[in-house]
Amino acid sequence: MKSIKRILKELFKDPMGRIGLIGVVLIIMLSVLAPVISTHDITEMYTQDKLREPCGEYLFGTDNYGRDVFSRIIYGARVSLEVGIISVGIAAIFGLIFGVISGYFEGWVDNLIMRFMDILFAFPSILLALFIVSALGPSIANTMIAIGIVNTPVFTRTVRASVISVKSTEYITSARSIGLKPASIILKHIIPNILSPFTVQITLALSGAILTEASMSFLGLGIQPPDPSWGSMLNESRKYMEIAPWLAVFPAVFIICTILSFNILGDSLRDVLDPKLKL
Amino acid sequence: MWSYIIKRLLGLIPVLIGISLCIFLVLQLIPGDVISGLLGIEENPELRAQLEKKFGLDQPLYKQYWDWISKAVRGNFGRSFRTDNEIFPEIIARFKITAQLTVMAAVISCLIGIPLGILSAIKRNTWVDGIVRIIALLGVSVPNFASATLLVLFLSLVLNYYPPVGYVGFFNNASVNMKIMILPAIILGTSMSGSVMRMTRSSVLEVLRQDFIKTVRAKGASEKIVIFKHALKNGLIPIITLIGMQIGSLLGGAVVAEQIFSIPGLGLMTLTAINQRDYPVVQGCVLFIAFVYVLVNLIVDILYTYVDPRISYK
Amino acid sequence: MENILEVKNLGIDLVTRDSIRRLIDDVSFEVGRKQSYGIVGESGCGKSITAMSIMQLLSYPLKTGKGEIFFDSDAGKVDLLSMKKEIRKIRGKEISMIFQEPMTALDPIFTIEDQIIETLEFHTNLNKKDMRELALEMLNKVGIPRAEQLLGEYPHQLSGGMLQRIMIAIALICRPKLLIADEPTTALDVTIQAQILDLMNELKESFDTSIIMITHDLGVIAETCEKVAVFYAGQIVEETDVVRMFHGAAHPYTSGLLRAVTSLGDKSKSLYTIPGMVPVGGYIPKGCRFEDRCDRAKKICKNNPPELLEIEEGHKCRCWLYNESGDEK
Repeated sequence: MKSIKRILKELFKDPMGRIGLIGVVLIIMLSVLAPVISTHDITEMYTQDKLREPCGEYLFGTDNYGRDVFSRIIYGARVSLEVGIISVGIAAIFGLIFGVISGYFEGWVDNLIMRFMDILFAFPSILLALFIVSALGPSIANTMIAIGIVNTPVFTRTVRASVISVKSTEYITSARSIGLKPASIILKHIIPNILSPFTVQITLALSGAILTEASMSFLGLGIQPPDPSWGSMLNESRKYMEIAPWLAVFPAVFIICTILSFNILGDSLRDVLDPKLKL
Repeated sequence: MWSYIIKRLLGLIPVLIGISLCIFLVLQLIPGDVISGLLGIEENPELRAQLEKKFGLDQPLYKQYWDWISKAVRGNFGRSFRTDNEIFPEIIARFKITAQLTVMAAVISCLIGIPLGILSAIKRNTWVDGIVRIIALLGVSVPNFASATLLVLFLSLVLNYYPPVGYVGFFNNASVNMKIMILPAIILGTSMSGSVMRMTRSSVLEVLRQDFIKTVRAKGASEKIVIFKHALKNGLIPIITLIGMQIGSLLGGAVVAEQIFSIPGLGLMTLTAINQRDYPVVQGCVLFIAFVYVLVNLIVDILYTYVDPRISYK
Repeated sequence: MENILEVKNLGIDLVTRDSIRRLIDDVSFEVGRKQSYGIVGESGCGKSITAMSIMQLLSYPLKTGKGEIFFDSDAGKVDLLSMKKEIRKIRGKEISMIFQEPMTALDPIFTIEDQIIETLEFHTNLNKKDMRELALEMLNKVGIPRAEQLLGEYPHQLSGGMLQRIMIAIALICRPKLLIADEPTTALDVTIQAQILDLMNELKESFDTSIIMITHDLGVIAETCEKVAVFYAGQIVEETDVVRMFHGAAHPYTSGLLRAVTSLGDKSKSLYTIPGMVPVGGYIPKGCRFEDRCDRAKKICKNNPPELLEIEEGHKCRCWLYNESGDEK
């Protein structure tokens, strides 16, 4: 696998890769710098300024409670990224563990794990997330858990497939034949070789997780008010769409740009890491 | 052939058992007490005992599960906590609506996605390809609730158009029904068309790389024949798989679309039940939707064997 | 036209975003009527892409850069490289091609019958019944026993040898004047190889077809060809008739190849290989391309590329060791 510097360089050479990288970096910076950039307190209701159009004081206008949309959007970036990273982190870790065990040892363990993943796969993903949250109760933590669970089967499958294909290479067969223990084979030889598809999967899962969180919040089952989430902001905007269209436009644009950036980055990353797949 | 189908159908049973167990167990995670939710502030031991007995909650877990599942396979999904109506008939009625929406969306996505995907593959690396790929990217990246909201905003503010309120069945009044259904179908369909476009493009390009395409050209075939007779037919297999999987996300996306456009489908029923903590309904809806999804994928698998002669009936 | 095919100054390029590399440089040769012409060389020497270029079968990123390929078609002498859509009338009908991997050369979702008949559908107006008759006839001619039964089967159900016979049937069904065979036996077992080569020789006789046989295997050349061109690094380095090649090869590369072939009873301790490697990565040496591996290289070879000269009647060689009268300098 190429070094990180080399990957970044190649990514930057590709125009799409550049766009994706810049987009993702911008979102990250927005969320990290949220306290610095935002202009107002996000829950403070400026009751005399309800539903104001975007202007000097309120860059993106205010909502029906008189809250500053701009600051809420900035903090919304933070929420989206937090939920995205943690839920994908959960899914990636469990997916890695299950996938490696399943792929390396095969046999009944593999069967058991894959059957379980098949059952999870049998649910449309947003439905499963909504269902889990309906049982656990809507909260930011439960949203992360739900999205994490929903994404685990995909990671498990990807990792398992990579492990199986790497396992059968002569390289690994010779490692086993000289008697190396499974743990060291897995850690030192198999995992480095499956990093490419794994990384691409992470980037794409991030965009999916952000989308799922936004959808769930839109439906009222994700991030609960008054915490800002682009999805719930978009939902709340529907009642006031005709008189305050900016309430809908800003969250929509930010959601779309964020997901777009991650998808573009994921695609370019895939091209860089595995050019054979490039068509 | 039929024995293969029957074997596959039988193979569904463990999956369905797994799904139902999963659903049942997840609902056991509910913090707090369902009965308290129903009773409200009034804690009345007698009423509580009555309700517990009524909903079978005084039984041990495995018995509860068995009761539920044995009734469910016979079409008895119990009754709603809220309305005390039978759940199953309502699921079926609403499923027809969601199914209509899903089918319309799937058709739209194929009508858009497959031709554009082929175009993109043929004109690979030209500006046409570039544009199609951007469209596909947007399709994949724009969430359907965002595009739906923006569409409604645009229609009302710019075009002054408001879709008819109040759902009307297709067989009651087809034209009004279409007016109601077409917008959400377009939203869901264009959303899904992104992945159909991408899959078609990569599938066709993959096939065009195969050796036998050289042979077909060497025989004197026109490009039209190469693409439509050979590349597309061979490429159809992964495309069909994708469509099967996308039906799943359509069923999920229907939840959002039905919410926004006020369509009384299964998605909306599920969502409402979740919001109202009406757990028997949630249980029933989720089980039903998962079952439909699994069935659809099975049909796709069987369709495979039809399309690809290399797959034998094991 | 005296010959069936005349390749003149063919150049093939590899086009990438940043550069154009000339892979095949200034290749010329002629194939006579009813002649078996061999093209031999190592992997990567450019023999396959030369063959593909004849019927314009090169695909992105390869492109014909220059040259002409004259063919004696039914419509008279034509330059194949200048043709646009009309070349489809020639493919499969007047010139046919068979490829190396029979297992993947046929479309997996169509029956054998469909695929044989497809050629007839492109080039004739016969009805279904007649096409089927013709297909059966061809299958018999290529030595397939239960032809009738085979028609309904799919490629994945058949062996490599069978499939290659079917490929030959497909290629010859319209009685082409020229058959291009790109490593037709490389992917087959040795015994099947022999059968296929025999079949090709037979059919060449009965159909009056010229054959261009591309291979890296000198044994195949010996079995089937009358005239042979030796390719190295994108150029022809020697061209002569088969007998003279095996007994009087001029170019050091050709002699190296011959030495590298062992035969039963060879008791030498180690196998001979030509030292060094084919130039890689588009690096084109200034002088003779074989210079760094040649055991008879001279000073002039390093910086001056030799021309392909006729050193005796019907024998061309690209080497500074010879002048036109064939004397060693």
